[in-house]
Amino acid sequence: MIEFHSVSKRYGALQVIHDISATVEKGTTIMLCGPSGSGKSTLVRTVNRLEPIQSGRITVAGRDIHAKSVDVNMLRSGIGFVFQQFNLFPHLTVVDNVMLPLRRLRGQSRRQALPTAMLMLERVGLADRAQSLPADISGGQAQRVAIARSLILKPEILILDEPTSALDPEMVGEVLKLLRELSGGGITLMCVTHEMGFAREVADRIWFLKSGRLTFDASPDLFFSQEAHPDVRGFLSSIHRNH
Amino acid sequence: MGYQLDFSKVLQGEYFDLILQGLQTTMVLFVISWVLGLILAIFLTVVRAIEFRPTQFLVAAFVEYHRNVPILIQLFVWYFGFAVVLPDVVNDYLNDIGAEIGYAIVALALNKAAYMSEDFRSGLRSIHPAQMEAARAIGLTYLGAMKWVILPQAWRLALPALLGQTLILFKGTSLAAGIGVAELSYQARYVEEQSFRIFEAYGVVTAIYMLISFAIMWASSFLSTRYRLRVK
Repeated sequence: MIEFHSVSKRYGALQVIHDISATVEKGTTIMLCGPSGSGKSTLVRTVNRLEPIQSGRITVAGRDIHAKSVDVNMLRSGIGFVFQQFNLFPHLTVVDNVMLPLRRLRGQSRRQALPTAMLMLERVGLADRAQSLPADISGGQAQRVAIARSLILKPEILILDEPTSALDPEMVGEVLKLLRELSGGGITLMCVTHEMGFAREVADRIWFLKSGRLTFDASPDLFFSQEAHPDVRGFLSSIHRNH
Repeated sequence: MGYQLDFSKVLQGEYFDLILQGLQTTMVLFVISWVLGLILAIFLTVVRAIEFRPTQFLVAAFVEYHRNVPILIQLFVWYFGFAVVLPDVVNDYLNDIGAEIGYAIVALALNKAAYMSEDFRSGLRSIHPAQMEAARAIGLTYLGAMKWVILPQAWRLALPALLGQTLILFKGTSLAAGIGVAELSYQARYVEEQSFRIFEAYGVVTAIYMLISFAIMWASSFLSTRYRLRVK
């Protein structure tokens, strides 16, 4: 579904992505982890062209997405993207946030879009907050709304950039529960996370990045075993020390 | 002091008509300058938002001139200064049709545009860049993101300051008396000179100014609350 071919990216002299090649199979869940500054977020942001790349190639469903002929807005409408800080639009109610893509990209009227949006809100368990403003809901609820908004156009790919990192601990669970339900439901999922227990549970593959390189790409079983890359074992034990 | 207050002298007949005419002129000045000022402010905001140094500099210079020179001087520049560069024929014609009000509208509108464009700019700047990024990530074009996500927030953020400018403009129309526009405060002075009812003339005009100012303030506080943007 998504293929990275020798992808490199730099900001001036600073190389943030270093010759990464990897494949994401259709319908699978990839968890990306690694120390901060390792390039995880940058890498997932290249998939919907929020970040340009300097060399290499990224294909989605066989198409080179950085090619000039690709309509970037079309590409993005087929890829859901969820940010750490939710980024709901504060002037719109919850339901208006969720139906914005239907109305402004698919040209549907409010009336046409409303049932679809309400169904999506039910799916994330927030139908009763449809008329609330983002300022009046909790962080966990806001992130579930953001996920609903990213799914409303039925994308084949969903990308999440540290979706629980900005949440209070008691709200992490509700978002992970939702992601657990999404994973394995046919959608191709790439998620940057520090929740290692969660990664182990839902991932088909776990990618470990360090200094812009994809150091280790393994199944969860291998990832958490003694045969894992030394960097991974060092990372995991440093996390455990902090808990 | 043998001065007997008698408001009836200025609240009827010719004097009252003059005051009403003045009020009408004040409202014409206020409304037209406001509308033109707002349109020009939006234009200035757009020009300044485009990354092109020379035009950004021109807008900045325009804003600084209008914010740092007294409005009365700006009125003089148009009425006395600009007239000098026009051919006599044009000037004669303009004087025949009563050009003072036109010059006053131009000066007030330009002045308000400078302030209002700064209000819009600060509204735009206070929106987190992540909002634009999120809008683009959904698949909206740059213009679509502006239209559906950024501008609806920007005008709400700028609204309290814009409403404040509205009240300042309303009171500022009285400066047009300085170039002979027969608006409310000009008429008050005329009525006072003719009738010798000094306190009454200014008293009535003060009451009218206050009434309208309070109405603007009330509407401002209603609109500011109604459209307040709450960001967590």
